[in-house]
Amino acid sequence: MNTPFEARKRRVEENIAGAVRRELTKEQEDALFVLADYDETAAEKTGYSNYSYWRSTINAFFHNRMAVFMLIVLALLTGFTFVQPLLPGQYDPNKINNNPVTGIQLQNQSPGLTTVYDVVPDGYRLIGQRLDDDWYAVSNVILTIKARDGFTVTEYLDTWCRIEYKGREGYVKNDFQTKLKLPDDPTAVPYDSKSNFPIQMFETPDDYTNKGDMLYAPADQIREDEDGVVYAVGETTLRTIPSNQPFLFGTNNIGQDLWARVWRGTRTSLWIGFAVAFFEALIGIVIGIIWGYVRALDRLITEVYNVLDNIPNTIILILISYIMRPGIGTLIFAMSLTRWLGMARFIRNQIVIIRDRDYNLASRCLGTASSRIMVRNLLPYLISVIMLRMALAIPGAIGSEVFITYIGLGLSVKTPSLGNLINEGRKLVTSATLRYQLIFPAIILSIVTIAFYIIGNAFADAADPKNHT
Amino acid sequence: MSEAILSVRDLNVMFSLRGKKLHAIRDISLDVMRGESLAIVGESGSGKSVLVKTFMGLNDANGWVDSGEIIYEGKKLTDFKTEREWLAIRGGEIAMVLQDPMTSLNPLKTVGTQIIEAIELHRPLRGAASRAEMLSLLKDVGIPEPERRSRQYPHEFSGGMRQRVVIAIAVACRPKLLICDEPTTALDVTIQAQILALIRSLKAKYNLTTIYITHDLGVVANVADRIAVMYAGDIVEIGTCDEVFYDPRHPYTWALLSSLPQLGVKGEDLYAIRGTPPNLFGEIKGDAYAPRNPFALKIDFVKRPPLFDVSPTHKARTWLLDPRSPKIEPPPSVKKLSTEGVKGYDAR
Amino acid sequence: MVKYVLKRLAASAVTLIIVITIVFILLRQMPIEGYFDNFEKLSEAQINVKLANLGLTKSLPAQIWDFYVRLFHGDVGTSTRYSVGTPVTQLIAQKAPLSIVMGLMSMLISMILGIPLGAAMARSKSGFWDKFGTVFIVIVNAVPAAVYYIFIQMYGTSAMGISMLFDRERLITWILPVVSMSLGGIASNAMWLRRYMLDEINKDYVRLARAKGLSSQKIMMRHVFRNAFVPMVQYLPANILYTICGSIYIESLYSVPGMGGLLVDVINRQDNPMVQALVMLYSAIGIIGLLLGDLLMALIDPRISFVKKEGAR
Repeated sequence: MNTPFEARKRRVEENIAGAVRRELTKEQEDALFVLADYDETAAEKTGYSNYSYWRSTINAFFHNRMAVFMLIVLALLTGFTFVQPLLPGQYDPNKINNNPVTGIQLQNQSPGLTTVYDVVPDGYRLIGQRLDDDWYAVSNVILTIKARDGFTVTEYLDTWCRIEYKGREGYVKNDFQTKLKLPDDPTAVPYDSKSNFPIQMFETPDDYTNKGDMLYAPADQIREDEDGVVYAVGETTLRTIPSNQPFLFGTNNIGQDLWARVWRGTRTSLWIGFAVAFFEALIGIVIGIIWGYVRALDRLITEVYNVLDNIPNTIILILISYIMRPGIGTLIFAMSLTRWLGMARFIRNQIVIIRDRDYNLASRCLGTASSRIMVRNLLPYLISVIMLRMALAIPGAIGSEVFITYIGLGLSVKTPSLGNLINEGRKLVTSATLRYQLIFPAIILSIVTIAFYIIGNAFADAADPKNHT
Repeated sequence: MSEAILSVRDLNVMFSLRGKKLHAIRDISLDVMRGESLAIVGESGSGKSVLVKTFMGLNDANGWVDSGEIIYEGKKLTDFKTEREWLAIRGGEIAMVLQDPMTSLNPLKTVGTQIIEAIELHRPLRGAASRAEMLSLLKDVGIPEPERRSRQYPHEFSGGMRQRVVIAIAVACRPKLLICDEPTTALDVTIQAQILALIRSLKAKYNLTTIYITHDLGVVANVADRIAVMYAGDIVEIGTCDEVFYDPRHPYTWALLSSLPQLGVKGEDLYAIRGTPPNLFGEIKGDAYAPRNPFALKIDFVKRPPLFDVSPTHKARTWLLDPRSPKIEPPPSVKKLSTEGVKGYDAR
Repeated sequence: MVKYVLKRLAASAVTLIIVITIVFILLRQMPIEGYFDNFEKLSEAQINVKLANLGLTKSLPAQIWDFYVRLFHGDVGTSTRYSVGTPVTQLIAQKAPLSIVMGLMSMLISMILGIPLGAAMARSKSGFWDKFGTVFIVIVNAVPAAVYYIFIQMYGTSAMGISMLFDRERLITWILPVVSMSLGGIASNAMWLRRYMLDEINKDYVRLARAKGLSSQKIMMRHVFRNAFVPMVQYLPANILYTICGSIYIESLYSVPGMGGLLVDVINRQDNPMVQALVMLYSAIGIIGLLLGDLLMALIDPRISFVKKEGAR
């Protein structure tokens, strides 16, 4: 389109710009009283012509900072659900982690960013046993003294007491649990004491145990000396579990890694959401088109619609989940069974209304091919509403899954989903220290649903030509 | 007829749309004479509706008077800040009839209630008295069986009948100035003439000053004493009906007149103005009509023309009236108009 | 008008019958264990006797016929697992009043709070109330109720220093369940009222009312709010649905001895006759709710009996 016109237009514009910059002199002004070139194209150009629906829609969407932010968050989150299992050192979401020494499940481990408990200096004496090639289970507990064993307190410290027991020196905690009987004269040491409880005698006045259990040290930082006594080689890290990989979100009540379960669950829930959105669109569009175009079926489909639409969706959801075997397929089926209704009705009404709307009539009168009418005029509007409904279907489906799981018809815990994670977490709300098992999945779920909701609405706003500049 | 009931001085109205400023009314000055009938003519988007809405303080919240003043009966409307000040003007002094009677009545209230609401707003009538006034108004605007019709809802009225109700609401408070915003555009041709005749008779009965906004020159010819032609937020030509129809000076007026169906020659395409009005975002250099104007001078692209006086009542904003301008004749069809006359106008 | 009401009533009755029949047929597909409280211990002969007693060995149409005959006499069966041998109607009659009271209370709250919120949002477009309301609506609509109910229970009860469970005698324990139940309604009332009011504000008759000299205050009250409220009436029954769906969850969360909690209990115990009766009851409430909405609409909107309805509602 780089015609002579373009050049001329530029020349005129330059002239004008130049003329405006300086005040016109009388002579210059007089010289301008001649007819200008009339250019039809230029006349046509003055208006608001270079409008593209999709470009304007996308522009309007990207002007909504909140929506863009949510879109990025959602993309990262969805991406991460796929990346997470591939990262090094991840736990399997269904693996029950046991304490390697006792064989008891590592249940309700608190969330943490690291497994390091403490670092002890070179040569530190510990009691330990070899677990496997890589790890030692260690602690600085020398002995556990039985109840009523007499021992001698040789010195009182702030929270510790140095004691002597059968010729071995060590430390015990001086707290309410050990119930050390204080001497009449607190300065009188040594003092023979008896305890009513089993108490642990520590090598040093430090507690290097994980709430009484063993800690774990890498085998290459440990030198084994005599029976049961090991020494730190260099700075030795003591860990709460025999792994460098922490339970970031803690573990659940049977010792499964919540971090892995949350991401697997997010993936399951997103998958259900996308599937429901897909089927909503697919079934809705197909039935809507048939409904709108095939006049003979209009009555029948309308009646089916009225019946289904009259029953509360939740009740249909409950009924179908109750009758069928619990599983992802059942959930998707039960949700899709009602969700297509709104979509089909929308498509049908659009087909009926838009088909005869004035501007399409105008297009047809101008001889525009029907296919072009569909693509240029109907499609953008339809697609924008379909996208909105699909975007809103996803949080809806995730919410329904949580609900169905709660009433006991959802997925089994073997298939982690945000629904059953929240349901499992919910059972523990009475204990403040275990609430993380509810809060982590709830936060991820809220981010996902709010993001879809905001993006969907922002897109719908953006797709509305009234909001285009 | 020489006293102005409403005068506008150098009015500039701006709108802010998604962060951009739109200059909707650009430097308009205008006097509306007591008792006259003024028609404001222009394409959609020329700012004619915005102009009259500014008279009543009815522009949307994102619009404001940037400079200039509007004086109505000695009151400076442009100084009004609060809604209270405007309430005395709206309805009571200046009333308005909107374009589409199908939507301008509240669908959920009876016609009678809506008229009574207007009566009681500005006049000291209550109860039975305002009801009687409502019935007489309905009769005035030519609605048969007012007693029964007043208890009906708008959807039970035809378009023409609804417009009569809207007019009854407009005159209910005895305004001095009646603004009719395209009062007949949405109506059937047969109804149009009836409605225009009704407004004319009410104008005589209540001593109204009327302003018509329209893009239909046929309507103008029927009702107007004076015509103001608006383009891109500016009045480009103003004069008596005779002057504008028979001696138009602005090329845009020529173009408007050329597109009158009456001027078409059988077998030839009807004249249509090319292009669209300019985008009012941002400043317009020179004459806004220049890019679409086949008679544009180079100066039109550079400097805004002043309003030249053609006669004491006739003004036009075009460089063609400058003595330095080359002599340019209006198109032949427009000249033909002055010899043959406008249908409908002369029939009046 | 009368014709419209009769037509609408007939349509609802037909829908109700179809829905009940479908539910009945679907529940016949369930494993038969749900009809016994001691299935494992019974011999095949005993099972067959019991099934025959229940009429479950007959053909499906015959079963449906039997069901309607019994339904007509007010008999919808007896509980098989939840409370063995008790008539279902008796159990529901015990539980229903509390649910209805709580449902009505929360509906009332959702109107008392939701409607002023929506009106305030429409009036202060992009002002404080609009922003506040939008955030509230986004959260309530986007975050599954199942999640925020738990958090309200968890933090609400500890903040108020009360037990997590509902106690009919202690009024303070009513607050959280009722308020939680009304949140969805508040959000939907506010959202729709705002949308309708904004729609109305841009209509010509409001412009005319302004030109007439009516103050914005009066325009809002007399025209915009009133007109926007008319379509809201249709959402009143939708509100009932919201409340119902909320109550299933809320009641079981707080152990409220109502119908919603009952549904969860009987689902978990696979008590077929109970599930069947409750599902039918809930469907009926839904259908009646929509019917009432349409009738109310016809009552207050003068246009309705004149406007020909579109095929789909």
